[in-house]
Amino acid sequence: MSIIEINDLVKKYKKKKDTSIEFKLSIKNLVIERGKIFGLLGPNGSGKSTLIKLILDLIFPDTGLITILGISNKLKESRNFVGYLPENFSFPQNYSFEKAAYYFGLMNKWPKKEIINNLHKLYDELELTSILDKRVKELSKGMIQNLGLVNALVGQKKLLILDEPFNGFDPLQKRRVMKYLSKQNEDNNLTILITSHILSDVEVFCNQVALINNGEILNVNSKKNVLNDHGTIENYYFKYFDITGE
Amino acid sequence: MIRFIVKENITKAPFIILTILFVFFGTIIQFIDGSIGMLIYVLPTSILIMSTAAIVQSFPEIINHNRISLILSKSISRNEFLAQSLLAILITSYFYCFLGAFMIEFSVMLKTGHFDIYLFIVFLLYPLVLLFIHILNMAVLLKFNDSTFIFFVLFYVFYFSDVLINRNKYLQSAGIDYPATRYIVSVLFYIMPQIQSFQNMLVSIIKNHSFDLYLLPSIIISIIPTTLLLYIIANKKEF
Repeated sequence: MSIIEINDLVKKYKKKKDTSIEFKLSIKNLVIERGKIFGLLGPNGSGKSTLIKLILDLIFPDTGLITILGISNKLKESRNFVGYLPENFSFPQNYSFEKAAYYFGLMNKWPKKEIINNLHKLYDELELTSILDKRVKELSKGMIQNLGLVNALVGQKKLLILDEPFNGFDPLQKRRVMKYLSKQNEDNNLTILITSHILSDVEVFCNQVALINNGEILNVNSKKNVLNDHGTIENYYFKYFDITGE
Repeated sequence: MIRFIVKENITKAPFIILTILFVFFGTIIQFIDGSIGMLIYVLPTSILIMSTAAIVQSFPEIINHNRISLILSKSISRNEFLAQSLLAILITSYFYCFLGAFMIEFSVMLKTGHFDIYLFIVFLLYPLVLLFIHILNMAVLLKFNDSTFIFFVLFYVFYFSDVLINRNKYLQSAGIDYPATRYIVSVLFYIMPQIQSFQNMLVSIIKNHSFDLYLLPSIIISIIPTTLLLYIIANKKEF
């Protein structure tokens, strides 16, 4: 069963001066199956974040259709079970970690009691109880990333969209988060769409990978196949992107 | 989300402290001065500026793209986001305006010994003016992505408020007598809320206990097209 389906998607960015096309994202067909940990890989400016924003209806396509769990992404209901961790995000600076997570958690339209229970479970499992009283402005990069992750996870999530999720984490935090997400994937069939430049993380974490460049999907493959054919995700990546041949 | 925005604004400590200081100084002024003249002119203006500043301070945060993308990635539509933000701003404005109304009422009561109910009625209108400014600012910020435009909007609203009220005087002194110009200025008078009129009305109520609702139609009329403009901009905006 597919969780995300993209058909004939085109998004063009035009230059302000002469209206010529500056960047074009064009995806004929892309399907992400339920229960996958799908790694979207590509160089900076290849269209990874644009694609994510298109999926979430934060930006609008020129043409094409996107569905999430069979519902058009134009409808807010399509995001009922979606958690999103953007690359850049902002929480109220004067709020404590706990308060920020609580208020943003309430926006999930889930019973308040459930949200509170869910948050406490997340704090325990991600070992965050010691930083709950800290104000957002006092949090380190890794702690803020944890807040973003908690915000993405709270509620009944079936799909997580994580844009560079491991930025700012120290190795211990990263391992803890990966372990937690993998467990959610196995136990609850949580689908995860992730972008990352850290190829070793993708190799450990994902079970399917796609390469994107200049707004086009170059290849989609299972990790198993990639490792059989190329040995490592890094070799696979450089086969497509290392134009210098080094 | 409404609760979150209201709380974020109201818990901004500097404004609470300023408000408390304001009550204190307002009371002192009124005892030292011996007349309520100064109080009448200084307090309402300052309250208005303060409450406006409190709301204005929150504009960039509410429109912060990094915040909005977090909110809109949830099961919240753009229209819900707009409606809830505006409602939250209206509630915050009422909070500050009632605080201001109590301060003025308290000071005037100390001096005159009588409680002026009209003052509270006037303060029911001011949050609508703030709401108009907020809608206009949201529209401008969403369109241009630059918070410096807020000051242009405020300058425009406050400055033209005075120009529009005294439009006949300004047109006469500028030697403009074209019917089309007069018509345009008159239309603007009805679609822009006159903050200056509000100020005049407030002073007139405190001084003469006379009350006139002439500001109300202008406020309501001005909110409708600006809300429509914001709706169009917000639904086309890419985050």
